[in-house]
Amino acid sequence: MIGSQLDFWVAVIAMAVITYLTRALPFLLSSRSRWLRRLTEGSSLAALGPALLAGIATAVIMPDVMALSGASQIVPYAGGLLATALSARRLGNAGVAVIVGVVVYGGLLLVVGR
Amino acid sequence: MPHSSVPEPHLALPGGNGWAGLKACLPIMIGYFPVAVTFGVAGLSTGLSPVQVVLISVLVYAGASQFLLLASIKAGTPWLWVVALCSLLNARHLLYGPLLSRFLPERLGTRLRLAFLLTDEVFATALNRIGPVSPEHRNRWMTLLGLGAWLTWIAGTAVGVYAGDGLEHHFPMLSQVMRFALPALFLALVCQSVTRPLRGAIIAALLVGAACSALGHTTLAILAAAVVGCVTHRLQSA
Repeated sequence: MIGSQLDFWVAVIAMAVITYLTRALPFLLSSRSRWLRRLTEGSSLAALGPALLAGIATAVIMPDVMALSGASQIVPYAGGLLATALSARRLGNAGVAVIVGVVVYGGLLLVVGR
Repeated sequence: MPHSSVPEPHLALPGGNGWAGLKACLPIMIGYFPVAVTFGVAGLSTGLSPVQVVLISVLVYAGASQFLLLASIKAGTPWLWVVALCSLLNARHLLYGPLLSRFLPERLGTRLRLAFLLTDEVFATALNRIGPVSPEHRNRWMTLLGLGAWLTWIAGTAVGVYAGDGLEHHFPMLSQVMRFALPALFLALVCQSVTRPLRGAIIAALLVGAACSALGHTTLAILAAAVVGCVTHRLQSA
């Protein structure tokens, strides 16, 4: 169990090392690696980056969506996402789209969420 | 780059386009801060000292793993289990390096230094926005993007530890609004990734990811979406 100070620090250091290794090990792959070449060329793995982004997006958004209840929560969240998506497509700038989405979400929370 | 809507050029910024990494980090900073504050508050509530909580953010720097650690402390889970679960949670990071590799400086030492800063959000932002940055500025761009996110995470944790209860009490709505930045960031990046050849793959990935996430399997959602996206793209290309 993570009870003693020593156990706690062993767990923290182990988690830090594992987290770093999962991020760093792929860089140790040779640039001539077949897998790496397939990722950078137009194979079926060319969709991996966008598909990963889509997966992360659902993992972040869906738990929020499942926790929403009532129009006072659903309308601001849906409105914020819609504003973000439209801004991202129209303006082509993710940073501005996020700021627009946050402002719309906050505004709708104030109006609908009262 | 996986998308055709090329982000705005950064060449007009003072000090060269490497500094634009800090600008690209802004949505991450807005999103990280309230989550880190929450981690700081939650860390204290498990009985850890303020220094221990902040050091977890400094050393581990992985949101999901850090919250898992707190839950495990509360539940008294054996630390070997915690470490094993952490490995599973972080397995997705193995895919980030190869995808970003072509954009990063060739020097291994530089890559290994940048790897520490490679969270989901930093990866997603870099994948979408580093393309137009000139190669000689990419090291600085990635460093500023990653450092901005890491320092915000640490600062947010410290604020949570030392002032979190007061902040949540006085500005509950501001905290809620800032938390929306992370979902908005990922949605914006996905929208920018959509091109005609990849549209089917991205829609399939979204559907599978949403289904898995709705069932509570968020880590599985990321990996399943990646696999389904690639398979769909292959079937469409055949």
